[in-house]
Amino acid sequence: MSQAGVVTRLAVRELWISFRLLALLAAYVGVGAIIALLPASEAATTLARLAVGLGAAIVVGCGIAADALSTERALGRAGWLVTRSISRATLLLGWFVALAAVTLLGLGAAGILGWLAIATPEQRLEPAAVAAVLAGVAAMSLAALAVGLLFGALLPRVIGTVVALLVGCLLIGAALTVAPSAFVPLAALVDLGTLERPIGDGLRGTGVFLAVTGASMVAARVALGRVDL
Amino acid sequence: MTSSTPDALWSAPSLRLLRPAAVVCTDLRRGRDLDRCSLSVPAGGRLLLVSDPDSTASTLLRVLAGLSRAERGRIRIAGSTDAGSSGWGRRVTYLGPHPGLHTWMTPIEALQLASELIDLAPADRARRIERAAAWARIPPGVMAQPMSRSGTAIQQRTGLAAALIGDPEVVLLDEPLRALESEERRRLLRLPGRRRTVLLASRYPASEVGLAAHVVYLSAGRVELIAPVAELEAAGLSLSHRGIEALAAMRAAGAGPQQRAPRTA
Repeated sequence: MSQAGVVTRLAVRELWISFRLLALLAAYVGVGAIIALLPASEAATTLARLAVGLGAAIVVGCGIAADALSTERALGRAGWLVTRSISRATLLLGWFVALAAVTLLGLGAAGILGWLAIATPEQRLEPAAVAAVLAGVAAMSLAALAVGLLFGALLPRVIGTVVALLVGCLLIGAALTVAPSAFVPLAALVDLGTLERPIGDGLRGTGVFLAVTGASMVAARVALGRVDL
Repeated sequence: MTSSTPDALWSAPSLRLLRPAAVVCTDLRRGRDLDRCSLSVPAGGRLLLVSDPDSTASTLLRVLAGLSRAERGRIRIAGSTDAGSSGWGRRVTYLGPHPGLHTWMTPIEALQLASELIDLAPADRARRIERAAAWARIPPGVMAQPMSRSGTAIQQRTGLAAALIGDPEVVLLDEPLRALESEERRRLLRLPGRRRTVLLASRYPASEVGLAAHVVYLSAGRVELIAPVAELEAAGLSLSHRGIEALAAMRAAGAGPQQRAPRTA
């Protein structure tokens, strides 16, 4: 197995042991379950609830990512790996892949539950449109993880986690209230029933947030390269 | 050469010239801890690093291990300036005051992970793990038990075994194994291997008697003194902060200002 694979496996186990994996899964699956269980008169209400819930789960993911990486640094575990000739970039990548896998699993479950809640006989949404917008939401989740890892690499444990949660709240709040749905998949999810080109908007949002993810990972790599482990 | 003991062998004037440097750092700077710190350690050297303030020696080892970044300066270890796995990454190991292991792991898992990370062949892995665990005296009864249940001493023994599993050429030890009883700690820190270079940073030099051939004293961020431990004894000084400082003062009084070029042990 490659070094990145070993780090990813170790990160998944650490997430499991520390209950962060359960917390992250519960955040996403819980959103889907609540949306599925809460009665709503129209699909627009359900979509708005789903967007808000997924936004909250994304913020949780951001905080967990920051907490996980800063804890690894504080307890010397990141340093132990680095002194075993694991590069800092590999360490970061391993943690990102582990967090992303759990996030995408949770988001997949939330998406299915949300789809079941939305798909009423009165209003049928195009499955491809829902999938495209959810792909954008997945890209937003990855971007939030990368931003969380950036704060986890830069700041001490508690401060890093709090800052990640605050920044996540601000960004998701802005995404849901003022951002245009053509570029922000969460906003597109709210307006999914009225969008003229939902697939195009979803894919555009996916591209935008994958770019944000890449930029944040580069910044996190630079930050991790400069801090003491 | 009048003796076959390693120290005498390495100290022989003819071999001194040929002896390759295992660790060379030049003009390292980092905050208040390191200020144009230069040091050259020949292969097989066993150095005790003592500093004022205490954090300087630790910082130097952490910089050499790649855990902290120097603001300036050059590092060459085992002939390479590349800290990655293709350079000296796998030839150097570091053990700090805290082993940095996941305590939910069992010692056997930690050792397997350590061997996996350095790409040991599967056939070689089991043999090396067994040998390292036996040498570190990790009781077989705790090998399959999470280290969080076995206590700090087992974690530190496992940390040392994991550090040595790859048979590194350079071992950087920063206040290691303090949870162990002093005799057992000394036994473990007498690392086998004549060509193995060991740098041991300590805040309590008196507890390191017999572990190093030379003592390095770092003051104000740079190397103030490098002397054989025997020189301390010859001067009637003890292996302590005070004794080392006194020897540095005696040397300074006798030899004038210290040079800034890499100092060789």
